[in-house]
Amino acid sequence: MDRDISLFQGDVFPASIPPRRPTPMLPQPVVSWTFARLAVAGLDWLMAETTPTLPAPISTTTKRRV
Amino acid sequence: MSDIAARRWLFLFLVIVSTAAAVSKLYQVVRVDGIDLLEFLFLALFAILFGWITVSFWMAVFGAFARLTGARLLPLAEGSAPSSSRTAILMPIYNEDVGRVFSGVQAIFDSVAAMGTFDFFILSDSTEPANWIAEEVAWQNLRGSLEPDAPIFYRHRHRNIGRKSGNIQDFCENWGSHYDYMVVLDADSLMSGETLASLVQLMDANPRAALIQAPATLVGRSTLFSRIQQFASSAYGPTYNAGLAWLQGGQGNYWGHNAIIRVRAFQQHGGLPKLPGRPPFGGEIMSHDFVEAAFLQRAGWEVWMAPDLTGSYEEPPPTAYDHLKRDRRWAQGNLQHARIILAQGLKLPSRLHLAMGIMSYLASPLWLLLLVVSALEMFIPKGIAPFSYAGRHPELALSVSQSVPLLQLVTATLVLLYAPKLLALMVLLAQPAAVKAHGGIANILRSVVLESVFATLFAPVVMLVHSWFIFNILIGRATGWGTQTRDDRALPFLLVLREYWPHTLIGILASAALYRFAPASLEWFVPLLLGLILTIPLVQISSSLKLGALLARDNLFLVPSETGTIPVLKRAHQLLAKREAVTRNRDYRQLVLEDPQTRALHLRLLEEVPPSTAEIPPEKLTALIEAARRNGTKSFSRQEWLALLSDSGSIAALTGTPFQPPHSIDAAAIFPLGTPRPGEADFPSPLPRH
Repeated sequence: MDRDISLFQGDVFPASIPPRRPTPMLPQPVVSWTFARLAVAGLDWLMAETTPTLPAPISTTTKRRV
Repeated sequence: MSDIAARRWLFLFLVIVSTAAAVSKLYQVVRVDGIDLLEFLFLALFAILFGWITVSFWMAVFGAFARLTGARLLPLAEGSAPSSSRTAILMPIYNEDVGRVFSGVQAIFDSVAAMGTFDFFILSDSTEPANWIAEEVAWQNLRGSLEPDAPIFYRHRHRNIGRKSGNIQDFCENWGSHYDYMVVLDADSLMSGETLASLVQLMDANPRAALIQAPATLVGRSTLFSRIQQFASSAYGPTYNAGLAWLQGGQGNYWGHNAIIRVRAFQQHGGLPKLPGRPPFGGEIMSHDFVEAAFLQRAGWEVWMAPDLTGSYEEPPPTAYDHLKRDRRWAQGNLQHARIILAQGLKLPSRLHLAMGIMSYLASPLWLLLLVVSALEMFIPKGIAPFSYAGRHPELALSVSQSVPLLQLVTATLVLLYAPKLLALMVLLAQPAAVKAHGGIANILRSVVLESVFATLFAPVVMLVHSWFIFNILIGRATGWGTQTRDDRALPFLLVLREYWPHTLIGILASAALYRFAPASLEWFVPLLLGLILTIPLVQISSSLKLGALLARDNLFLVPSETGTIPVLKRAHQLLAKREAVTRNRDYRQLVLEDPQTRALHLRLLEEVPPSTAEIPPEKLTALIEAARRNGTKSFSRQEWLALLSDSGSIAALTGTPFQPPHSIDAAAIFPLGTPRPGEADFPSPLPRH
């Protein structure tokens, strides 16, 4: 009896899915800004911007700034 | 200052100035007799909503300007053919119409022939057993009609973890590293070979681009509602997309499909977290596309939209009911972005995209609240009428009419709402080929008028429906992400009546209340009230296929896909018609048990992508086999069928034949691994030959 035409005919056509190449996808961080975090970050920024930087030290041998 | 920065500042300035002008005008009106709490609330809501519509208006102005002046909307280096890059075309499916899916895949496959290296992956998450087997059979049918080495692969995932985004992630984690790029499609998406090749070339030439979105034109439907949507998409979409592209530049957005993505960038930065808490605001991220685009940009990649690329299509929902059902999922997905919008590291444009997505649904309850507040204002009698003093004589109190400034505000609002359509119309009429493709000037004008009338009447229905969605989401009622209806069909009247009688009732009651308590204001609300009262006929009639066809014959709502030929669409329809002509109504689940070849195929595929053995307890499988032997499988539930079909041993035991792999399978011959690229680890070895 002929096979139903809506079914695939003949042999199963080989088309194995490609071999796996595992590459894990890590979930990306979602750390929301909160008022507290904003305040801390703001303070950090302010400190970094306003803290005076010390001048370079002077060598005792060459009497020049290192 | 760069061009794009200047455009953005100008846009912001225009939005702020026009909103401030309107709010100021309204303030002048309400402050005359002092501002009470209701009026303050009214002012605040008006400011938000007016600001929102000015954003759309100015976006359309920018888009029209860009189109009419021929501005360069995609300032990327042009690629050059041919490309040696490898691209995977992904079709994630979930209990879809199998014939439609495979017709689409084959049409795209035919279209990209000889245009580059494109491998097709049908990534099935189907949970309906019959769908699952039907997909396998359809896949084999497709392969039988093509060259033996045609790279069309099928993978069924046994656990729907993470829904569509999880499906894509599964591909990226297991097979993505074989490819430079991937193009994600929806089950109803179509893309032409030329467009796919163009996208690949653009990615080759622009190594900082992680994603290029090709806007999809709505095509392929015949109901009145969907034809109206298709017309609106075709007529107005190019202007709106131009405005969006011109302002966002390389900090664009991703709409979940019809886009090309750099696989390595996505693997490194596209992983989605699970948000703390429960749905609707916690759990898996439902609307993943906006978030993935934001993460890519956070990592320094560029995300572009290519508004001038044609050859990218999708089908709209067939009816208003289906459209609103889809909106339920999108509303929840977008509102969930409130948990992401303040994430550290996101670029400002990404936050704006997320905000606009949220606002596109939040605007509805805000509008409803505005209407309620304004109604209360009208219903609550004032102690005094608005008046002003004449000079230094307080006894000369003159009543002041607020009609003129209110009329100015209403006019401004109407202009902002409808001018974008007129601007888009201007752009369309400036292109003779597009005019012809949409049926000529007279037909376009008639279509625009009718579409505007329909949209005006439908808007209050959407407002109520979306407001109900938002209310449910805010009280914690989550929704799933079920299948979409993809078939054209008219809605049963009882369904429409059941779903939309409340909207009709609200319209009638609101009309009665206004007539009783504020008859002078009734005329301002006619379009809104009419839309609500007519909800049932509006939804019912617009679902009609016959009316859609009738108006097409009258040259209304014509679009290029109807007046001309889009090869990939025509091919998909031809293939679907051919499939439907030979489709039999059969139980595909039983086919695995009754047809040796279907069973051999299914077992082979199970071997390639086996389910986790821990998922199905052995004693359960034994019980299933016993039950099937005693009483057959007719009474098996969906879960029982899934368990049976997921286990090779059970199938073999039930059918009394040992599992044997089909002959002549050679994976290496089917998937030529090619030359390893420099710096890569060893290529995986091919499967052993049988």
